Amino acid sequence: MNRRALLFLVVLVATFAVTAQFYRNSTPKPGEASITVYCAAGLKKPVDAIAARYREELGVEVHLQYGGTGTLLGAIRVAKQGDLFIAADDGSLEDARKADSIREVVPLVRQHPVIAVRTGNPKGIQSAKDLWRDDVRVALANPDAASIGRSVRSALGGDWEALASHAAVMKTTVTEIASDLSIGAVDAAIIWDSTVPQFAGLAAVEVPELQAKVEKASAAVLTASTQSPAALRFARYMAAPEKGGAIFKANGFEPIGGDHWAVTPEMILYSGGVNRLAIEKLLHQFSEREGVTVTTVFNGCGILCATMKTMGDSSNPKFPDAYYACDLCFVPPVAEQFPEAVILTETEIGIVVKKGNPLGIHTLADLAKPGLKVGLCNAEQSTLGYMTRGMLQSSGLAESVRANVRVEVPTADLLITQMRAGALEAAIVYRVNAAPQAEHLDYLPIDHPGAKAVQPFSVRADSPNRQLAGRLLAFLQAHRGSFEEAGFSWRGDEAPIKSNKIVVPDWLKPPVPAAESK
Amino acid sequence: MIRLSGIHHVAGAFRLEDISFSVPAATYAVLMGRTGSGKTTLVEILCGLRQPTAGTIWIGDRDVTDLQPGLRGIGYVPQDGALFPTMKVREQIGFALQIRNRGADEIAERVKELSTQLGIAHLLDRLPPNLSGGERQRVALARALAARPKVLLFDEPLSALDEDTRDEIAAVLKQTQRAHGVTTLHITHSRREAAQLADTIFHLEAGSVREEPR
Amino acid sequence: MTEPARQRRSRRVDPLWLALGAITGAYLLFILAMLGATATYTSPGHLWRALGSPPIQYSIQLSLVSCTLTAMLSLLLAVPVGFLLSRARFRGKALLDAALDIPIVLPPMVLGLFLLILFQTPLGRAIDRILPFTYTVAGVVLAQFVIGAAFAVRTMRGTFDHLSSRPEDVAMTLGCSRARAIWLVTLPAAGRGMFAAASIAWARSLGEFGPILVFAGATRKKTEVLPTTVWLELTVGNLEAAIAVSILMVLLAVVVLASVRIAGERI
Repeated sequence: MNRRALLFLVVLVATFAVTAQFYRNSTPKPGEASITVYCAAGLKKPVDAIAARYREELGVEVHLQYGGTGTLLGAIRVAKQGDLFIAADDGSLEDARKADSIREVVPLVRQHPVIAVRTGNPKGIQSAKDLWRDDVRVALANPDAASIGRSVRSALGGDWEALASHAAVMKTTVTEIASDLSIGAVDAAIIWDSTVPQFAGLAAVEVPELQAKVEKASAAVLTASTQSPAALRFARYMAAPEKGGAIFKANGFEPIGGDHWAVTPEMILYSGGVNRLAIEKLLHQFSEREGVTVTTVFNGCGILCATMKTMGDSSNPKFPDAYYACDLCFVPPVAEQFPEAVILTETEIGIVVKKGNPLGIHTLADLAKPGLKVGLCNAEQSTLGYMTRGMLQSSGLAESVRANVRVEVPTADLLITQMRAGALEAAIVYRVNAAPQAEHLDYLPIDHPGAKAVQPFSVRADSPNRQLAGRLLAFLQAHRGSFEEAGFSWRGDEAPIKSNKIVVPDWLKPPVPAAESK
Repeated sequence: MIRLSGIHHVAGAFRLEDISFSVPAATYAVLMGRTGSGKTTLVEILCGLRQPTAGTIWIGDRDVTDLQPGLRGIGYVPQDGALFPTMKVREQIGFALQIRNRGADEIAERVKELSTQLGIAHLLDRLPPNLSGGERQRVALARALAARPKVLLFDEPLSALDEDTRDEIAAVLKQTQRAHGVTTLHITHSRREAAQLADTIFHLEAGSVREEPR
Repeated sequence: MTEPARQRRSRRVDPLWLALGAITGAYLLFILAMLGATATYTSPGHLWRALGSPPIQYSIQLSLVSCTLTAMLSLLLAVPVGFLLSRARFRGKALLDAALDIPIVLPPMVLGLFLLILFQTPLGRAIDRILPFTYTVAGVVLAQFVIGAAFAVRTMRGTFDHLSSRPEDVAMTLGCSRARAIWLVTLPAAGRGMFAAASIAWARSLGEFGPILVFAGATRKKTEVLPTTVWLELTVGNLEAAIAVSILMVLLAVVVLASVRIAGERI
């Protein structure tokens, strides 16, 4: 007995030692970079290949878990670990968002359902009606487990229930039913168009009711992820046309097209000076979260527009990827490169005076009081200055107030400083400039339709960082609080507007560009 | 000598009440009782494998009531011998001495002595499945004797044997008892065995023990 | 009456044996037919290719190692627990019995889910931090162990049920404590049973899929074992490879179990 026991012990210890080796191999080493990705089964082939390339190029291990989209979502909710979730339909992504399981979303490919049959279409299936034939055995995917099932149920509407009862079999992933069709256990299966080429001997039959149901497969960063830059980096890799996009294409998928690949993308943002108060911290958070560099140029919008004009067209690498103007009127000059804008905030324009308003100033006209020391912003350099001039001109006060202007500065902060120092007795500024100074200065609203600046955010249409800029916009839209804290009024939930539809009031003629005047 | 005094035991519906009897030293006692009357329970209590709810047990001049089975100095031969299934005869016989960490020579000596005495010297390297019923009982007996017990306990040692072997082994039992001068208690339901072997006969019925007058 | 020309000496085979033989033959035929039909889907070339592919080689190694470890750990647990179940008498024993059978009754995937949830509890997370189980090889072994041990316990319980406790008692009278008596007498006698228990645990572990998938993941060259390899190949439509690996599994199981049986007789 002792001999056997000893033998058992020796073998046990040896087995333990060997297992420990495998174990060490399977756990993430502290120094080693790795991310965990949950991926819908239908995308396994291309994502496997992309992950292999990624490891070669960047030395990062991508641990992949496959399953039906719905199934994976369930696992994510329980495990609360992982970095990315690749869902094959939009509805599931919505669910994930509602459950607060995901954050940023990077779209990858487009798919739509088709009826798949074996090559040669032996049963002669031409339309959805044919699926109901007695001699046709159909395989479907479970709508709660797989994206394709969910999509088809949505596309067929009331007919789904009946088709589901007629179906020969229901499985939990698109690849399982494709496999069943390939073996010959069923005659037809409703799968993605991109799944068809993955299995031997299958052909697709397009039908109108399914063709219209185009879904996006997207990668989403999990809320539980502790390394969002790494997760987003891989997501960007998958979306990049020359990296992941090419592999998706080679596997019969239709890539949506993302930003060009860069390990650490750099994006350039041009922003009007007034916005600085609100977004400086947000930009920092965003660049940390994405692992990118955001170079921001804060300046008067007039200067920004002029700079863009001198660059010529957007092929200049310094041309900004996004533009956050101080007011709508400064978008049309660059409407070609920024065709669409989202209004984020607005702020009033008003007059600041010394606390207590000793000089009794109440309207724009009062600024023309003789001897008054007035400060304005420069109309060429700043939006505020430009809009101020517009208001004065349309009120016929331009000359009279001009006489009192002691100083013209590029930005409103300088006006505030001079007001505080006592060098000025009145100045026209944005409300957000005045708000923090409530103890020292009084703010008087101006009764004029033009006394309001509306800040639009716009992404350059042909920017190589278009999706990244789009995510920046989404990030800003998700942080309303920061803007309101800074004193802005929030308008970020409205629909985007077309730049060429922006109506600029008469008193705000577009600035005449140096090169032409149409 | 074996003395039980006031032994009580309850196991379900089954009771032993106030069992008291004495087996004089170096005699061969037979305890008779019907099947199911509690003979085996009594044996287990004697061995220390089961605890009585009350009463004392003396072996020799020691109160062994609270002692572990291994310290009571008992040689126990259960029904069918109950040999150790994976050990050779040699090892079975030497077992008690091995446990007591005796030297290899001493053990070999004792094994030789007992196996010769009991006529099984030619079986020393056999395993239990290759022994006949009679051979098994002889080995069990040798095993029980190895450590020179004060008392021998036989629980139905002859029940599983055929007629001829039974007589043969009965003779061996009696011989051994006489030769070693060991107090022996033999449990059985057979009148014939009692008549053949006993110096004293006890009856276990209705939960108590009475001595049969000689 | 004339005797039939047939010799009286030839014994007529009892029809009972013919019937039993027919049933057994049919069952065996069914198993072989499944294997045979499946084998036609692949070719020796595929099998060879499968054997040569690094992820599959890794998978074979991990399967062998993890199943062996699981089998041994299961045995280590099953012997004391099986012994207790067999010998001890106490109230609620039937309940304990039923409780220990839970892993056998549960659907395998659910078992994996339970493990996943267990490791999300505060204690579980603490353990996971020190010694990661979720999505690691340790998780594979644990998932296999939960089921393997349940089967091993059943087997050992049966073994001890059939072992008389008398030799143990005798050993005690000869000077052993009960523990020593068990070690010297009962366990050696239970040797066959222990081999059977370890074999069952090993065989069950080899085919274990559900809990491993959910709890340890199916990461190539990390936590991939043979059943998950089959599934992974299946999900990409690589039928031939899936079948090749399945056949590999069958061969592996037959070889290992037969060797263990033979070795068991020897030791």
